[in-house]
Amino acid sequence: MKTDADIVRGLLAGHDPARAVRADVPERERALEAILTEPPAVDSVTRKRWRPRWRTMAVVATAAAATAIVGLTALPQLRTTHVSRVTTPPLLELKQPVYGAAATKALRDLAARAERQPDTIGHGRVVYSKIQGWYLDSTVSRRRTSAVVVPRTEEQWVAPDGSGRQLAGAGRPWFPTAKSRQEWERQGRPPLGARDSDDRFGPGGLSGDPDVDKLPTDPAALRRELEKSGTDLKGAAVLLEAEGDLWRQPLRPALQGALLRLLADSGEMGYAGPVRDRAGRAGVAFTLDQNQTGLPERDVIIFDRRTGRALSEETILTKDPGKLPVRIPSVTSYTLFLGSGRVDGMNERP
Amino acid sequence: MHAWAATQTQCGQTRWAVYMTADRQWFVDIYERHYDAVLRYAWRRVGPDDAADVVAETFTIAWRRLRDVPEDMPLPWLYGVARNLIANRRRKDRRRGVPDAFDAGVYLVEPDHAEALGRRDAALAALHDLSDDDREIVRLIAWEGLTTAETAVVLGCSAAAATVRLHRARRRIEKLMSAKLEEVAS
Repeated sequence: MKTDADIVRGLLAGHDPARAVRADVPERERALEAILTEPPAVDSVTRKRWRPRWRTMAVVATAAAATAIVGLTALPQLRTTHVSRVTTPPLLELKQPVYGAAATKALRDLAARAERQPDTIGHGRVVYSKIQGWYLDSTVSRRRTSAVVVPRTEEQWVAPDGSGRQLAGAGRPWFPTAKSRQEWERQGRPPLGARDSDDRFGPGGLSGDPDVDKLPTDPAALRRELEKSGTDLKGAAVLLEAEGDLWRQPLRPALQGALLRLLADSGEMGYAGPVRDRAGRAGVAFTLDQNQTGLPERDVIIFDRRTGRALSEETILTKDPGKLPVRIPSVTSYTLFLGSGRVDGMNERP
Repeated sequence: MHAWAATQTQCGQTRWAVYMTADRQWFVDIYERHYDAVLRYAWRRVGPDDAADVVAETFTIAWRRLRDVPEDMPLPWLYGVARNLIANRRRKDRRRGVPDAFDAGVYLVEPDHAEALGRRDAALAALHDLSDDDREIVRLIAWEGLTTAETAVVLGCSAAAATVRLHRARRRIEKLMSAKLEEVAS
């Protein structure tokens, strides 16, 4: 599945008016000379003189080299390091998918079960949802990478006018080695992920997702609606992309069933059988292999086999990492759908 | 003699001198490495006539506030400074009644195919119709090539807020672009 960043880049790729803009070198040199005639702020120098930058850089470089060779040994290198590859989440234990009639039947059976579920969403005016996820794009900066996987948990409340609240924080970290975990525990389990945040958004600030109560449940009409995305994805990829925005929301049984039927009718999905998701919940996995997003990838979506509700989705790079600092195969993103419903206030949970 | 060198002489300490030299070298490295990127950032927002001025002001501030420039992510920090400078310029221009007239689209080379031209026009029109905040985050991701973590640095918000802002902006530009493409088709 494409990330929001991938989609935005895809929409605007090739339309950058400044693509070919380069510096006028003499002008650049003159400007530098003018800047350096001033002193840097005295305050800046005073504070830093006992810890010169060259020394910090040497320490970081040494630590990075040590990390690359012997693994993680100390916390300052755990959170962000200069290692050449990002530590990514462990792969799920998936069976080899089967395609064709077997996959289509499994999805249709699931759709039928979803449609038979009682409607327990409620009728509150606020849409609540809770997810936990890890996204490579949010982890990697231009020069630093992370050596521990720290998922982000996010709860969101959205009112009909698009105003709302988002409560976010770091989830439980995953360490690639027992030694790195022990070191973290020995140091008193200091926080590793992004700081907790509680952001409030005014009217329109959280608008944008489709109103699920207005989506048609007739598969053909629903497909037309989902395909209006402006992206140039085709086939099941565009469905997965559009449905990815819906799975976190509270969906009524008829719509849940219709979304599954669309995937079944695409004929492109693979069925990988029973699996447990990253939250330990039992489900059944479906896959889509595609390279419409620039690199060959496998999208995996896991549904609750009793209710047809989506439990999680994730993307695995399968053959070529491109410029991404990861091994092959690697998980590049995952989202767990942990709960949703309709409530009456910004502090309520279903 | 440079003012910073005079300070160095008055202090007369070796450690101080080493520090000053390392700092200066670090700044020059950043300047040379990121000048073009900051120039393009400014160019996209204010056009060719004013872009170099914005870049010079940005790096002047970076030199004055060297302590604040993050070692690991100097570029998003520089974009943040340039962003504030451009916003200040716009505020002044608006007070003086100067319209915000720069249209980056006129500098684009025409694509060869009608379909590509349609998509390009739809993309630029959709971008134009976004709110200022949405447009900024979309450009930072698509054209400045930042990750969402870096975008949060530019916008001065939490990574969580940047993620949700990007998601919403993405939904809105998709919707706008879809409508523009339908207009073209009909």
